[in-house]
Amino acid sequence: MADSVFRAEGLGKSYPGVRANDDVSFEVRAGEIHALLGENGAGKSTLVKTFYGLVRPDEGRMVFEGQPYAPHDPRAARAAGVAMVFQHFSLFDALTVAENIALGMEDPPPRRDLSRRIAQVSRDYGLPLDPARRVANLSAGERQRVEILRCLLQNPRLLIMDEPTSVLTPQEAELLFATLRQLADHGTAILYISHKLQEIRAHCDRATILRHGRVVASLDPREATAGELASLMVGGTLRVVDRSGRAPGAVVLEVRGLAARPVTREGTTLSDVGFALRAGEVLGIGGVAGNGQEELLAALSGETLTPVGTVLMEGADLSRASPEARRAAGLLAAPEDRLGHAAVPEMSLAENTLLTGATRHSLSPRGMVDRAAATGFAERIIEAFDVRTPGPQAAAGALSGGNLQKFVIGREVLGSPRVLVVNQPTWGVDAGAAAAIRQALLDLARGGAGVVVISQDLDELLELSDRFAALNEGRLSDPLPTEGLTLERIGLMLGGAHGMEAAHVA
Amino acid sequence: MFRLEPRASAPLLWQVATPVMAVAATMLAGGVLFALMGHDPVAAIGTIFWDPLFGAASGYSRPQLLVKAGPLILIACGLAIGFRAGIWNIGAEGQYIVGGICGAAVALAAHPAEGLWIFPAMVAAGLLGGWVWGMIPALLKNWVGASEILVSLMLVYVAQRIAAWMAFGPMRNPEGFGMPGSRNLQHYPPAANPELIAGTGIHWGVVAAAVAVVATWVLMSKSLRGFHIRVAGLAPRAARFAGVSPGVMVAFCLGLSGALAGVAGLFEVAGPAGQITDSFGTGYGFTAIIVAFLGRLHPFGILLAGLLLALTYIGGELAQLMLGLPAASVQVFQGMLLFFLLAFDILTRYRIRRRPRA
Amino acid sequence: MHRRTLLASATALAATLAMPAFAQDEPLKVGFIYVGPVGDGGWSYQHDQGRQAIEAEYGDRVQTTYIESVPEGADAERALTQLALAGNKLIFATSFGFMDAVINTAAKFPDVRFEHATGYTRADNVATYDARFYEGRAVIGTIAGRMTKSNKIGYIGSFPIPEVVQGINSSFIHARKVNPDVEMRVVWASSWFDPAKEADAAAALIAEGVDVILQHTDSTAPQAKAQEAGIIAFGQASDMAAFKPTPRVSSIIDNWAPYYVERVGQVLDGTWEPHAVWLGIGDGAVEIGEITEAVPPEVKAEAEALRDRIGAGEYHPFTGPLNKQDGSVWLAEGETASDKDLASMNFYVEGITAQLPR
Repeated sequence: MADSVFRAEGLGKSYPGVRANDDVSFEVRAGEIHALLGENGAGKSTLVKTFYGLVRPDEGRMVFEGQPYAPHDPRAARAAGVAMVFQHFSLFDALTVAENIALGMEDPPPRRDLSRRIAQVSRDYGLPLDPARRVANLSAGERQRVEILRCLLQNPRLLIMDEPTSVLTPQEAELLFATLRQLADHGTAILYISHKLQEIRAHCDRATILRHGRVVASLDPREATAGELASLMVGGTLRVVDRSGRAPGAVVLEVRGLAARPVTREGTTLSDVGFALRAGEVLGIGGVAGNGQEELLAALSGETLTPVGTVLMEGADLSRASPEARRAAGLLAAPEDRLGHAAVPEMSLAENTLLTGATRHSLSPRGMVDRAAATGFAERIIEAFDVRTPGPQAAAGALSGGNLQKFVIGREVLGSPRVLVVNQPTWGVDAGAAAAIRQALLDLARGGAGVVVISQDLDELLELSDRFAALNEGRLSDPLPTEGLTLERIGLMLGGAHGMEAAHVA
Repeated sequence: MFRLEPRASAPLLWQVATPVMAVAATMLAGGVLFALMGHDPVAAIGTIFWDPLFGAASGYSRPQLLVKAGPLILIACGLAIGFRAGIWNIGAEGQYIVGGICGAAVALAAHPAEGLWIFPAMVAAGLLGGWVWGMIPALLKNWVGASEILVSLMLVYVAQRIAAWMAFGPMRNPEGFGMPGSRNLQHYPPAANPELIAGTGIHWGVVAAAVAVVATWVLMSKSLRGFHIRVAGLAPRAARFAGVSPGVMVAFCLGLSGALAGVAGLFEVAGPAGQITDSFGTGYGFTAIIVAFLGRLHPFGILLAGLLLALTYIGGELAQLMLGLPAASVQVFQGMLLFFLLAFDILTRYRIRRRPRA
Repeated sequence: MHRRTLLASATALAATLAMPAFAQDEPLKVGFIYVGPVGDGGWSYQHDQGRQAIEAEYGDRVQTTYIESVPEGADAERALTQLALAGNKLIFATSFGFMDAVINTAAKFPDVRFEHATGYTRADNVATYDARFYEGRAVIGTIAGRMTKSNKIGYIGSFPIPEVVQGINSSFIHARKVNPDVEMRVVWASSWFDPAKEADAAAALIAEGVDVILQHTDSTAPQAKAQEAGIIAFGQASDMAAFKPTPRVSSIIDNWAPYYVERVGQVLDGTWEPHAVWLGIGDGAVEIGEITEAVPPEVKAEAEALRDRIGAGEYHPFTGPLNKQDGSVWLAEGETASDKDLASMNFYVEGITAQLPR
């Protein structure tokens, strides 16, 4: 086997009241794709921040390419040859792709050369991006491509990737893995953090599993089952989603000839989108980010108003109704972006209940806020959805992604919707929380509500949906029953490779 | 070496501490400045910050603090609501002037009639005038996407020209020998806004400022509308998702802050200023921006900040009078206050960490 | 009602504060408020020269203080009150816009004497004083009429108030008298002191072919513009000697020193009485600055002769026959304008083509 590129020896880190890492030792070898697995809160973030110079360990040491390695900041880490793609993006909305990438470089080349290199690398690795586009107008998936590209341009020796495929389609993910494999073959070590057990089993050479800050196993994932990996992670057996007991009833939501303008300047125009959703049914809508998902959610939530007769709920025309009027009618929604769209990060959980719960839960009688009622509602969500937080007065932004997502979904589910529309309900959420969220959506459908799940996670859609439709360039395919749908068929529905090419292999 | 590390949330302690630190730093830097100019820094600072409150003539200057702080607080309350929503009304000075002109217009049209209706009608006209002047940038923003910052600011200059035109033209006092300036409303009792309780400086504008502080607090902290305003400022997309129409929010905030600035202008023209002159706008609308930020956009903070700014005005005059400090020292003082506030604000959003050198 | 009680208390307070002033060797305290900064090089600067003349004349017997850059309106009243509370027994308020503030403050402090420049309202302890700037304008108008080659004279006005209209009419009448082809262009700066606007106004006049500029605004910006264009101009309020010998070929100087010295003397010996005076060349309040060698000797002699005749009372610059702009008769042959007419002058004389803004 190849040499060790990176080695951690007995790393430990404590925060007040929390032992984030405890005696963590493992190594990443040149040319391997090494998975780091663990639930949210298992200590993965602290660990990779230590590697990247953002956190200083209390004890233990690190060795990088045979030398003692103790970066005091990310710049030192980058200089040493460690690059990282974060789960949360650190991009400036107002700048272009090229400008953002230049900002992250120690010694950026002239803009024209840089743009050429970006185009070159993005083509080589199958990550299409226009260097001149403004980041503000990019979808979440495209933003992540910027982050990945930024790292690839630095020719790192160790590349750390924090859930990079969570916003990619299976095809895109396959291309990314081809990219990573290419890098690995050239000797780059890759540390890969993910919750997607299947993809780890398919693509990673080794896996180190963390639980409660400690290494519980280090193994070859290709030789383990997904169930084995999952139970190592959660320390028990994973809940299996229960799809039973649903019987589609009458049509609750009908969308006809829906057209909507882009939400952002470079968003996608929706045209002639139509479907009918029955009570007790889950409709899955797949597609690559930036193909109209945000626009569809906005058109259904009421953030965008559409022509008369395009959105009908139980016979009532809601096309011109405000978000509040739609909520009153029982049409609820949960947008993709938890921070700043579905929730206000600076505000407490109690205050965040007011965003959508004010009318459905009488949290603001006569226009005044009933704080006790809002706090009570927040407590009910925290309780029912097992949101891990100090309490309802905690700022939403202080919660981990998975916990905040559970809170957001819980807020809408507890609103007893007739129809619930969710976009990317489990993006960046650990396996345990994702299962809980999916189960809540299924329970909601079993209770007679119609559920629309917009997602890029094909496994998730196939697991949840009764019927499946694909959104491509603002158009929606005809929904087909999920039962018996083949992957090729889905690939065709997704419109093939939207803007993608096969990786150039030198 | 030190580096700044972002905080997850702004601690309350720092939110309160930074304005206090800014005031202290202003005193310190001001003292150094005065010392360099050859004045005794302790005496100068004492004259500005102590004498108006507890000095020999404080019996006169304390009520004057209220007279000066009243319009600042009234305007700043309105501005703070908009600032919280991320709507930047920089043109309160113009709304103040137009409110004053509209209120005075009612009085001058009614002159010399008597009647209890005159003053309330003037108040309504002041509110309406300021509201209209605030709605112009709101409508332009909603219709054509014009920046409310620029439009509201430009409208200040328009308002100043209108004030000059009024003072030299339509509103010129017919008994004023052709000199510019309207009739003095202090001499027309049905339209006057006199001191309500002798020796306190309290006139209707001060009462209105006190009401505005409480009403702003109720709006921002207790009502759903206030919640929506805060959401709009923190996360515009979340506000839209919650059902807040951005256009309605722009109109509400600019209209409300305009109306409050307008009525401040009315109370001023009917009271302390007395008349419309070409120099009716004396900068309350701009100083109120400092007040709003110094008060952390919180109504009770604004109350304290308004009184503090009033103190620097009156103390600055005393310093001129007693020590011969130049008038510009007051402006330097107010500028330093805002500068230090913004500088110390970093501490509420970041923490300072030592960074060992590699 | 309430106001009166406030006044009583303020007066009582003033009396206690002012006690030392009555002691034998205490100097007389004299206060000034200026509308601009003392460094404006024009209006406020000249008043401050008067203040310094008082100090030079009376030495330890007087003690003077000033507050500069006081906005007209409510702030003026407070500044005046604070001067009175600080024990000043004679207060000069040196801008027209302070008028109502002076009257209000004077009512509160009956034992303090007030002198209000250019105003028209008097009281038992309020005197007014003004200067016949139009007398000086007649002299420089004569020089302008002789010196212009393009026969176009430019006039930068501040505001269309009687004082300024008198100046425009007087200079035009006397320019025409020596040069029947003269035309006059008027541009309004809408400010007493705004270098940028004044420079713009000068540039606009120069673009129209004007080769002599007169200004009734206080900055030297028009002088600089005239220098660039190689034309001539006249100093205003102060001598503006820095621009000698050209473009500044002469100037109108406001010399308040003789009047101030006289009035302080009257307070010291107890003979001060309220009055309304309008001082001219003969009183030394309006001076013609040195006429430089850029002006031919015969023109200089002619101008100085006119100055001396006006000073001696032999000639009034507004002597008939004079028609108003619309052609109607204003003054018959040999008739001179009354002070009352002049104080409310709101029309141009015949021959000026511009429209007087209203």
